[in-house]
Amino acid sequence: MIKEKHLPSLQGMFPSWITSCSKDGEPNTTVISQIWYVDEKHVALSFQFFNKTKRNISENPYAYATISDPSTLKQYNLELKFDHAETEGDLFEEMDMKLQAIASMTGMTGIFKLQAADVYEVLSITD
Amino acid sequence: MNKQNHSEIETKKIMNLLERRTKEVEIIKQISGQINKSLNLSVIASTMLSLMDEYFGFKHSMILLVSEDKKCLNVLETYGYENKGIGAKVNFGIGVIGIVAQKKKLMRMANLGMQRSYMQAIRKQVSVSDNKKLQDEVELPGLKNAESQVAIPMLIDDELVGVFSVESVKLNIFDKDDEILIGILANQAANALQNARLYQLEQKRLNELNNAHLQLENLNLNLEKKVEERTSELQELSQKLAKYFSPQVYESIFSGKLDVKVQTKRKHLTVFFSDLQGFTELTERLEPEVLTELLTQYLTEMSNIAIKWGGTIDKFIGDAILVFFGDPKTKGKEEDAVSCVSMAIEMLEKLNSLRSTWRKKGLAKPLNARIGIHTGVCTVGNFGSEDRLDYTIIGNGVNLASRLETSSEVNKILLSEDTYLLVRNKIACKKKKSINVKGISYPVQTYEVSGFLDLNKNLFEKNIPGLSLSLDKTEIEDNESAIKLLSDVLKKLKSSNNK
Repeated sequence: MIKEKHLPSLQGMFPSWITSCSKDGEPNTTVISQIWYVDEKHVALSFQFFNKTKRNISENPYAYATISDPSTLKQYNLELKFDHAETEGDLFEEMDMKLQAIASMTGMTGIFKLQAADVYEVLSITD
Repeated sequence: MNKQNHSEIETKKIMNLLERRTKEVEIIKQISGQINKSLNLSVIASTMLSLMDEYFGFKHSMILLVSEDKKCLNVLETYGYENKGIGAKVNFGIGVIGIVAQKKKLMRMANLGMQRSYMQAIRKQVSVSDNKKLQDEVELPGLKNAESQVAIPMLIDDELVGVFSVESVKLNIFDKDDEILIGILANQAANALQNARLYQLEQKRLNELNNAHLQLENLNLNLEKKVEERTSELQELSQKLAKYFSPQVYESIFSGKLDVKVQTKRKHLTVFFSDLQGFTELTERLEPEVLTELLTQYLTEMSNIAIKWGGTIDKFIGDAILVFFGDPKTKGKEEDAVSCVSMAIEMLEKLNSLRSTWRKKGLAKPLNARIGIHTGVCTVGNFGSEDRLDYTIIGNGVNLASRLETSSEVNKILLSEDTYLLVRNKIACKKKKSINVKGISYPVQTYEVSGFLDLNKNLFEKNIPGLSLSLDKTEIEDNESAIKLLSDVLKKLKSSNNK
């Protein structure tokens, strides 16, 4: 599903957009700093603060994301479905490490804490 | 046709990949060979970093090592930075390198600049509401505008020895392949650096050991030198001290035969006492320098004679001299007395020759000595307090010697009867008048020394059954008659033999 050509867009170069929807059908679109590549069929989002996206997903697992390739500025649209949250393991640790590295550089050690790595199944990718 | 094309492209792709991998392995082998040649940490690190640029185009890289106290990392070597920054510190848990060290896991970052900007924006919001938790932004070694970074922990048996970091100002420049490649190289570097570290540690210990050894040697040398110095100081001191003692006393003390404590004993001694007549009067007329020279010369000569005969010089009292024989060494009562009188005779002879020397120097009035000698039991030993001791003799014997001296005629030796009886076989004496001495109930008979007896020259005495022969040449008045008498005796003996 996710191909090599998509990978540069999943390095967090450019902000991505994610749209979720409440159980009442109210949509919400927000900017996120990064969507992580997990494997060919999965991506992960970092969950640091409880926000509207998080609440919406807990009510309705489907989401829609837009990512960009920094060198070509080409955009890809992803249909996603929340799969599970990881609070330990390699994926969680890798994401946590990167978060901590950046946070500590800006003097914010301890303020940023990765709550979970939210893993989404990629239903489709369209150019 | 299309399918065939596709398959050709795939094959080409795989071939390219294989070629790249083969080349990489070759390069890794080369780098590994190079860095393992040295045991110097800096040389290994700088070789490693420059080869990585040469072969793979990594333009900015650094190696950090865990500090000795294991509390932080220190930059060991950098490559491709304006400021080398060697020695710069990175705390565990701070920045990409600090986190990699803390977690012992590699990290690949693709867009550091943007993420940092994002965090700084958040920081502004946080600082208003919750600024207590904020720390200062830290300056970390490396590129200020880095976007991509791969940091790899260098592990040996799962223990962190350092961090290997590669940076770029370009976005997303390192891929998964680079990560693997840098990982392998970091491992190689870790091993080479660990070997070098162990070697350096070994060298350091060896140096410490050598230094300790050297210090010990120096200490020993100093100690020997100090002992030597102290010994020579003591020797010098004891030589000075020796002049205040009679040689016998000095020798007894320093050989340990005589204890330096209050301790006395009764002993049979021959005591000598001499004084210069008219010396006190002389002191008023002479310059102190002349007087000192005169006295020194006199006492030195007299001392030498006393030492030669084995006397113990008790003390000098101005021009007076007190010497005794029989302690601490004795040759027997009789021999001691003879030695003492012999010494006195030699002293008078010496004074005679000194007198002519002094006369030449302008001393008009001749100096004359009086000598008294007595033999008797005296108390000898260390008298005084615990702090100040005097090795001397006391008793009536000493008083008597002193009294004999004052009764003596000038340049004569007056003996008590006790001494006379011990020396009369070797010393010729004249009987003098008796004197009364305070503390002695009876009058003391005195004798004046006239010289040594020549025993073998004048006397002959032999006895066999039937014949007694006694000859004293000094008694014979008519030598011819004596010869005639002996000739008659010979004739008689010869004629009776013929019968």
